[in-house]
Amino acid sequence: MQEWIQLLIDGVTIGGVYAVIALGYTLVYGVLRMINFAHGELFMMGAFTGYYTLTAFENHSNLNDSVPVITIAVAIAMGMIVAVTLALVMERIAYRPLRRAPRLAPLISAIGVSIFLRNVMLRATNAQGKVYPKVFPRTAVEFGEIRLLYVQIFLVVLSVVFLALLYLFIQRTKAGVAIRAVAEDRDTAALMGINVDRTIMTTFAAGAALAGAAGVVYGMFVTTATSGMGFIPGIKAFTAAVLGGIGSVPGAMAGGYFLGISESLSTKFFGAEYKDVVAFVLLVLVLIFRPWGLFGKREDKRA
Amino acid sequence: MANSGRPATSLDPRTHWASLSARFRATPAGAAVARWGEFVALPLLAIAAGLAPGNLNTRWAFAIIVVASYLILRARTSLFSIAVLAAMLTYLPQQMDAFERGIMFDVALYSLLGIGLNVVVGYAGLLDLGYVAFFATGAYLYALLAAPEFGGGFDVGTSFWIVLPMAMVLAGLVGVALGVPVLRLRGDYLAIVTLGFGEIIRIMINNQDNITNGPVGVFAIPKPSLGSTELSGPFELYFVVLAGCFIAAFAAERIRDSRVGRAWEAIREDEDVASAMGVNTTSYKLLAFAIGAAIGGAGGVMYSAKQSAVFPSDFNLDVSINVIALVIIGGMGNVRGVVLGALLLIALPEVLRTFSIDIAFVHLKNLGADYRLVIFGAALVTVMVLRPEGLLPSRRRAAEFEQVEIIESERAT
Repeated sequence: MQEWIQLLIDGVTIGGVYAVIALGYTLVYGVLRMINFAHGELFMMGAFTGYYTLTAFENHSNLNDSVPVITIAVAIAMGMIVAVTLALVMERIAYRPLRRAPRLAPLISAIGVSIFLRNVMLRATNAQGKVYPKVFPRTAVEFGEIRLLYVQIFLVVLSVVFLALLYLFIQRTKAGVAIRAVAEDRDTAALMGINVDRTIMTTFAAGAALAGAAGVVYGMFVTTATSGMGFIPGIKAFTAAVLGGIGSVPGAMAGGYFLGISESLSTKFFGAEYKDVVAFVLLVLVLIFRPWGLFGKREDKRA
Repeated sequence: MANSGRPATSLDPRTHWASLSARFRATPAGAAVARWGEFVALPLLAIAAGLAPGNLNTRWAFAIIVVASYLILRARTSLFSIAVLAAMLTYLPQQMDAFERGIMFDVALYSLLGIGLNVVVGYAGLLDLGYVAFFATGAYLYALLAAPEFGGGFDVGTSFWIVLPMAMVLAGLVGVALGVPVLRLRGDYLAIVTLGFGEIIRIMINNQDNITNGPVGVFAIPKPSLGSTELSGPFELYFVVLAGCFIAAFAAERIRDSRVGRAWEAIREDEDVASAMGVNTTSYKLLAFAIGAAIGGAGGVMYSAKQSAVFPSDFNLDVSINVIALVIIGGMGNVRGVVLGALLLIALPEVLRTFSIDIAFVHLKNLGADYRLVIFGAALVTVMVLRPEGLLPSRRRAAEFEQVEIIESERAT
């Protein structure tokens, strides 16, 4: 029983990360019908920014004693700023000129951005992973046999907070309404006086802020940042977005947790090496029986 | 673009480029170049390539210029142009060293894979991001059947020629097996499912140690032989792949122009209408998948034979992404575009390896070796932004693209 709870908790932890990244995919897909392949790289850049910020702090003060709340907040904020800046630049340079282009052109452009960012960081770090300074106590909270790292608790709580904030942003603010309107029908939204370009930028920025923050927290969790670290979570998060029904915000959240928990529980049955297979088999099964995803809108035609 | 009702402004680089090239073609000199250019320029370039110094950089730059300009200049298939291309592709590697021949092999191999994927993506319009699955199927089939240490080794030497059709059939079947459940999905769903499928195949190869020897890989894979000669190096195998490319390209273009090709085109343009017109969309989509997969499987066998050792890590997502990128960069639905794409995407990073800048106070000795993938990523973005329809789109695709432009600009006014 306790083993199951442990697996469940691990699943929720990683699921929260997937959910937060998946939101970026689903938002951008919603407004542009485009897979932003470089989204995982924003997550990676966030993790590196977190590393550099925390190291800078560590060199000036002592992080060892307690949980340095302000330092962590600054690191997360920096991760968000860098990711948002990058996302806006890439939107302007690589995606905006291709808005009316054939569907596959932005996809390749996004792959180009992804390769570019990954290799820039590979060179910048001389292909060495960066080890995070110790921010959280490495000891675990124990309930019976269930072990919880402090950073894990932080990660779970923070991902829920971010998801809630984003949900409120999309549902309650004017910018959120604009995003939903553009996702529904870009031309009609433009006729209603919505600035489509700015809305698309807002969408990219919102997704990137989440990815950047997730990168910093995930970096603290796994304690290293490498140039390739965005790739697998990126693919998984995209899978989660599709699972939940791409374009749907609650779907991406549910898909992320669903994927994380199923992956974690499946290690009990098939062993850790089949974790990725389980994720994709699940995806295939869901898509065969509910091609519009778990929460997606049923559309009879998806172009 | 002239009749689009929109003045060609230099603000839009695409329009600018198109109008420039159209204006050039309208002049008498331009018309002459477009019509006769290949007959003059190609022999000259071929001679220049032959005379180029034996330095890797220079010769490669020349080789690329020659083949690329051939592909760009050639407006239509003629016996002459095929003969020139074949002669160039046979002649160039004779002048190269082992490393360059290895690159040449990779270019040819990726062209073959590109021709296969082009059937799926370019003709039938199905976005397949897991093409590596079929490549891996072929590679491992040959590796396991031919390598003596792994229970295989049947008829070493000629087994290549037996396994090749077997691999094509097997990969085709795998393609169908993947296609049946997922072909109901559209667009991006199909993309992510195929991507997942490619990963599943790799992970299975990695984990099924008792069959595939796991991450250690299969090694000592024998070389094929033709008659009594063993095709031992990349140089000899290059010709096998090249022959494969010509056959696959010929077959693909013939199929495209047949009833099947028209059915694919109809599906690509509008699946619902196609189905209403009596096209059996499912079976035609499966056929596209199977043909693409079979070509990928053949490529896998050749790769396996060249490498003499295969590892699960050879078959990661990067292969799929490279192949799809070269198909789209080159120009979808067009075999010569695919070859140009392979040349640029596979050969260019290798050439960049030895590239360096050493002017004034800028000393970037290892610019190429260190930053080639950075440059590569930036180049992908640049090409897409400047020519979203690819460098050499098929004529029909280009026409479609222009039409979209017209509609869009009419809507804008």
